[in-house]
Amino acid sequence: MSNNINIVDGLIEIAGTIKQEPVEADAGSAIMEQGLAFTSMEVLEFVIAIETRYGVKLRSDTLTEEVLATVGTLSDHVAGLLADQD
Amino acid sequence: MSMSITSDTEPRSIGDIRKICGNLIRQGKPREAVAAAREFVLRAPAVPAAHMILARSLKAANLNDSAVEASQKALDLGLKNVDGILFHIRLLSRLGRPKKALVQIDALPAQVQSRDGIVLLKVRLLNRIGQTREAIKLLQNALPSVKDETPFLRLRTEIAVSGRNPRAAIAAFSEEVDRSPSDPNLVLTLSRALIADKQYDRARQSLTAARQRFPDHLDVGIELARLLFDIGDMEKAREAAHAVIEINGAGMLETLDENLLQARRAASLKPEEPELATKIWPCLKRPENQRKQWLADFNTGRHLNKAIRDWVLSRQGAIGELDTMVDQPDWGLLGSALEAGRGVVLCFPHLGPRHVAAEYLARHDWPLIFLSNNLFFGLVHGDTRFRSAEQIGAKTILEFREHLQRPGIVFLAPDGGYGDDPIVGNVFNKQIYLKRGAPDLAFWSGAQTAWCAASWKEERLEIKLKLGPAPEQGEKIEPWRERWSKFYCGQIEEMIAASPFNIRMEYARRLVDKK
Repeated sequence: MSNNINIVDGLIEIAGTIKQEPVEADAGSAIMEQGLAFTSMEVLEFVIAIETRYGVKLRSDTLTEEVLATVGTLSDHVAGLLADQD
Repeated sequence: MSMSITSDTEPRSIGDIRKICGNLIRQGKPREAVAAAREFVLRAPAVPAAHMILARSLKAANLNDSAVEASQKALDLGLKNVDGILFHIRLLSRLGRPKKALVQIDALPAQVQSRDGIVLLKVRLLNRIGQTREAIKLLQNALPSVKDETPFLRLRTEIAVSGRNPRAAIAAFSEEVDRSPSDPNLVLTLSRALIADKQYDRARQSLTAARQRFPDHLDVGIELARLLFDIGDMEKAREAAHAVIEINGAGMLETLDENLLQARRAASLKPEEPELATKIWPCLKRPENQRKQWLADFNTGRHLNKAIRDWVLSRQGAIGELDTMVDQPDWGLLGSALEAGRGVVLCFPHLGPRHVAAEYLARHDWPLIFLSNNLFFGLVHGDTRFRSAEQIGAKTILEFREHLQRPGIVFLAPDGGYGDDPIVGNVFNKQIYLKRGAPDLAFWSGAQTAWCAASWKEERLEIKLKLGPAPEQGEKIEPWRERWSKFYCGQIEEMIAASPFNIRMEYARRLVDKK
């Protein structure tokens, strides 16, 4: 669980880099709608930054609407990929 | 209102400061305009117009938050000037404060509220705050008396497909369809709202019933074919597409030459917007002795390109006739890029006969994704590589990146509707807005960019394929976008300058409307 919390923080930090300002968000913040309010191109940038930081490959066929719903759901997905690497 | 005079060089009146700030803004010195306006406001703090001049200067300097504060101050001081109030409302809207903007609109005199531009803005704002039904009702009530219904119909579709408040949109459009059952465009709008809400079965029923009721309505047929294509029922999609082809090709003559000749006759019978041609001519910097012929031909391209589009879509059996007038490029350029392991973001413009390059690209067996609002072409070819540009979301963008990295080719037009966050290009020293998808996809995928479009060259068509820039290691995205935009806009300029047949009215309007 603490690993997931770290990933949530990491994702929020990455989001701030993309938005070029600190973002106020938590695990429940939506990625596309109100919350991070990312555009489609920003989601791509987000995904690439996550891949670089965590050394995982986020394949489009696994990034379902549910996975891309909130910071928390995406963080769970990343945590799952990291667990598979262990 | 005259002001106290403090020195000979300082502005003496509102008229003076308006002129000074206006000139500074036109000279590209908005910060200096802000400084001058601020100084004036200090000397005339109770004059509403002074605050409004400051607001306009701040906006020109892109300081929108301060601008809205200044315009609010002007209103608080009793500003009555309608243009100033409208400026404030538009600024509030732009800054994402729809409720405040709506309050201001409701306080406007009735005759101002009923202006087309204000109604459009109010509809947009109501939809934005979730009052979608009210927005649609207002739009529908306004429609019968508007000067130009195009922006209203466009906004109606936008509300239907935006997915902002889909259930309310569906309920409202259903009511409108019940009220005007003989309007196929309303059925189309309802169907689009249903599709946006992923209610595919209902959308299919609605469109199938509409096609039976309005069998000759092209858009109903196309929308049904597109829906069937998108939900993967290819057999029914092709059937629906071929029904449309029969309607589309019904008025066509036997050969391509005959159709082109007819298109020229149609163009000469009814020249459209000659003043637009006159306005665009000086941008091109062509020899003066070509002026007369160029202006005469300006109107013809539209008809020729439509004839070619209809031929490509409806006469696949006789498509070989097109080969006799098309010069093809060295397609090996694309093959080489792919062999070198680099994906290609291949761009075309909304100019010239747009279906020709797609037709020739579709003949190759490349790993290619076409991105287009006109999926119909994909249906004609039975080609699932076509994707609807209207349905592009984050997941599709991620798929495109993987496709490019395989490597593959993505074929798209960045100069269409330009979305929320466009980038600015420069064509003949006029700003145009471009979607950022093409350069950003190339940047994040490390892909090559290229240009591919059919362009008129006297009486023939030449498909030009030209490699553009590719992002470099360590390059930042902003300079990259600028580099790409320079390439893409340069190709647009060349194409427009090459022949009057290449330009489209919508494009010409975009160019002459800009400062």
